[in-house]
Amino acid sequence: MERLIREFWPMLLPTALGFAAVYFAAPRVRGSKWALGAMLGGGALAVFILRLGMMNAIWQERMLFLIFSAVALAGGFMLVTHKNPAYAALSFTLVIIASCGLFLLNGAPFLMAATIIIYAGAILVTFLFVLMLAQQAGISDADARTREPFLACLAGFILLGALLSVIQRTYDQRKLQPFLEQARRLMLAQDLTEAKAILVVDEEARSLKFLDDLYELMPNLSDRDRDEMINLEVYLAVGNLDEMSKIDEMRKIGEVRKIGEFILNKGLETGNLFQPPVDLSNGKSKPIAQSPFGGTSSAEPPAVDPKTGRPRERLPAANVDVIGRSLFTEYLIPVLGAAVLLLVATIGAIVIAGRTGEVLR
Amino acid sequence: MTPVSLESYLLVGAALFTLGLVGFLTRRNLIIMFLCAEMMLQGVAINLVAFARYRGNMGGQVLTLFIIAVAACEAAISLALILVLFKRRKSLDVSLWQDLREPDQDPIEDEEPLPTPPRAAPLPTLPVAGREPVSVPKENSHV
Repeated sequence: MERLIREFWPMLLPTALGFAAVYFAAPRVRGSKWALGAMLGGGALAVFILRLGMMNAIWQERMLFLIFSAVALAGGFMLVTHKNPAYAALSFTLVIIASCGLFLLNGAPFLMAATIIIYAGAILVTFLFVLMLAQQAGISDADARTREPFLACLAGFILLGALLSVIQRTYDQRKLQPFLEQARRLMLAQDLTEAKAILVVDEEARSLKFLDDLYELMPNLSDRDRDEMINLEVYLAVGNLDEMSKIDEMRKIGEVRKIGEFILNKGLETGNLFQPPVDLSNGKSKPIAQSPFGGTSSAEPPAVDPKTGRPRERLPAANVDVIGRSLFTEYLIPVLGAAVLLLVATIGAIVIAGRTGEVLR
Repeated sequence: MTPVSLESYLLVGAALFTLGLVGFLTRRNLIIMFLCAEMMLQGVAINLVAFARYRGNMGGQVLTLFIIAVAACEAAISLALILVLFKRRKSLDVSLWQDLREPDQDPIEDEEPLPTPPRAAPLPTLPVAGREPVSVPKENSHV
């Protein structure tokens, strides 16, 4: 329990604060504490954003990400707690626009445009229209009351705490980062003393702390990989590195470099997700057949614009192209299914809403 | 220096999803409930798009497009349903439909009455035009 709290408090604290915030801010007929709830929600948001901000990323992208996610979450809070349904619906637009910003950060400009047009443009405006039509004078039962706010918030935020903790446990790469960095340095080591300085921390005990720590971080290594790593470790620990260096220094450096490569590859493989295969920051990407985030790699645009002589900006303009291509080749059947679904929904909506002359109760 | 990690997007997506869930469970306005469900879909869409980028393929983005299509269908159907429900009960309150509950469940009663809205001040009335005003001469007037 104590370990749980120590390890996951950056996730559990905003969850608890958020629970209190939504519980207090939920609409009530009497004694509503919206201001208190909003303050608590601000605190939860601040802690959450601070936790999200703890990363080693390009600062522009990080700032944009933090702003968009803060706006999205604040809009979501308003949607859930605001008494006036029109304001709640408008704050849903905030959620949509902010998450469109997140789409854009992820290199999906087409989805951003489509989401804004369909959600904010079509769906939301229609629903605002109905809201205005159905608006009753004064406060109504529907907006001033909530159903079981305590139990609902409890269930929801327990789920949130579990989700956040599991995501942090699975995808947190902050701990792995220094090891990958070390492995990289190991690969680039020029001579044995340098490699030894990286590998062997405690000269007396000959313990390879580096590898030990790596085991703990990668519990999901397969047995074969683990055996291979243990072999490497035994080989390194038993064999005296200095003697080896006398025999054939160059060859041994090759061995060490191989170990570094192995660790690096395993680290990248175990969490295939630990390192993004596509690096948008400098446009370098692993060779994949079609790079969907900036042109196909076969038709890579020249790095320098011939007209201006300046380096060409890498806009993900080919995104629409690639989405269309994969929609109509790989996902053709689902596209047809979606088309049928849209048709059925249209007919259904007409049939449901178009009834006239019903006996109204 | 790396791009923003996948973890961060997953965390934001999870938070949006849960906020939508809580809203769906607590609110009683049909339209707000629908919007909360849409917010849950947005949380999922953020996850999908983030995975698409970090996997370097288009699957996630295409799935998000399907989510948008399904959301459009859902909006059309739910709009029609909400209109029908509103026509019958003259209110968007979902608790008016609690006679659809299971037979062994107790109905939910609202204990506290709604506060009566403050009476608006009566509008000013204009005198009837086109009539000569009846002038009552004041006593002690020296005119």
